[in-house]
Amino acid sequence: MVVNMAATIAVGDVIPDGTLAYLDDDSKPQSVSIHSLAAANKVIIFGVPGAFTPTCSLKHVPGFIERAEELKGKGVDEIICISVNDPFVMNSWAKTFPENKHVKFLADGAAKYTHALGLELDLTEKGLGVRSKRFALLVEDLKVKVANVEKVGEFTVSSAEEIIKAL
Amino acid sequence: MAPIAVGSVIPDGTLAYLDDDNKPQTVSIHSLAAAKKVIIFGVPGAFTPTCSLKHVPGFIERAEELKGKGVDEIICISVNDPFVMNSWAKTFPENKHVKFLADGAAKYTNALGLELDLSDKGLGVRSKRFALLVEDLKVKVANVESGGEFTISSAEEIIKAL
Repeated sequence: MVVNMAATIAVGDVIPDGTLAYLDDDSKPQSVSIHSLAAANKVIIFGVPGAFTPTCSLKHVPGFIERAEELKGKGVDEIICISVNDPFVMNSWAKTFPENKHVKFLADGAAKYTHALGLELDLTEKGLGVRSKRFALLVEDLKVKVANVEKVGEFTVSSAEEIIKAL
Repeated sequence: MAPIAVGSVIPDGTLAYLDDDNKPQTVSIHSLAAAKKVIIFGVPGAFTPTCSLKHVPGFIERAEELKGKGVDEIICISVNDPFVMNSWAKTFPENKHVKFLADGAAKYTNALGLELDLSDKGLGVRSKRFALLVEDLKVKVANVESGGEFTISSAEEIIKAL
């Protein structure tokens, strides 16, 4: 099977459209398009390698939850966390952050959107399959203004602290 | 792969879990099942409704009874990674005996011939819902659920075979 790898998303690009999944208030799977959330808006999309994994759960997500009000104050309309997990797992993981008011947890279960961004990370050797790199994007009216993509295993440029500097 | 059937020798394979220090570890099925009586039950997904509310609790509740009838291991497998399986297992604090093992790349599920394509539902390839009774690596009972049902793969059903 030949997979056309998209070039890695970069500053200046128009963000691709794509469909992500979530569970609604009745715990039924629903889908939403990225463009419907991002068009004419200022959004942050940050990606994590895996729900329930240590760095994602203890550092990356909490950073965005803690800074959410500050980000909203600076004009950010949506803060979206995506991961290559199914919507049941994302929903359960989101519930482990009861203090969360603004971060949306969206599921890229088949890694389609992650591939469209060119941000896939092969963690098959670790038994996780293809996942997302750790990253944070600032997108204004579908145009990428900031693209902070982490080197494997690190947690520096992709944090909330870093992306706030760009606002 | 043809689905595993009664009389077959269960294939070997490696499943993952997190140890007490939350580090990923692996274990071979044969190391758990050789010379033993084990139940292996498969679920389509951690944190999904039927799996969480019916299938797993049934085995947790009946675990002592199963152990009393000579079952050495009760193993739950799913096509999820060990971090997800570990977190899901913690939602059953009353669990004493069921081991939650991760078949993250569906390798073992494929070896059993029990894969289920749930790509349409955004879940990718998963496991069918099933329960096997295996004695010294030989399959004695193979209860594989049709479609989205939850009947023959339950703890109640497999107890009848013991």
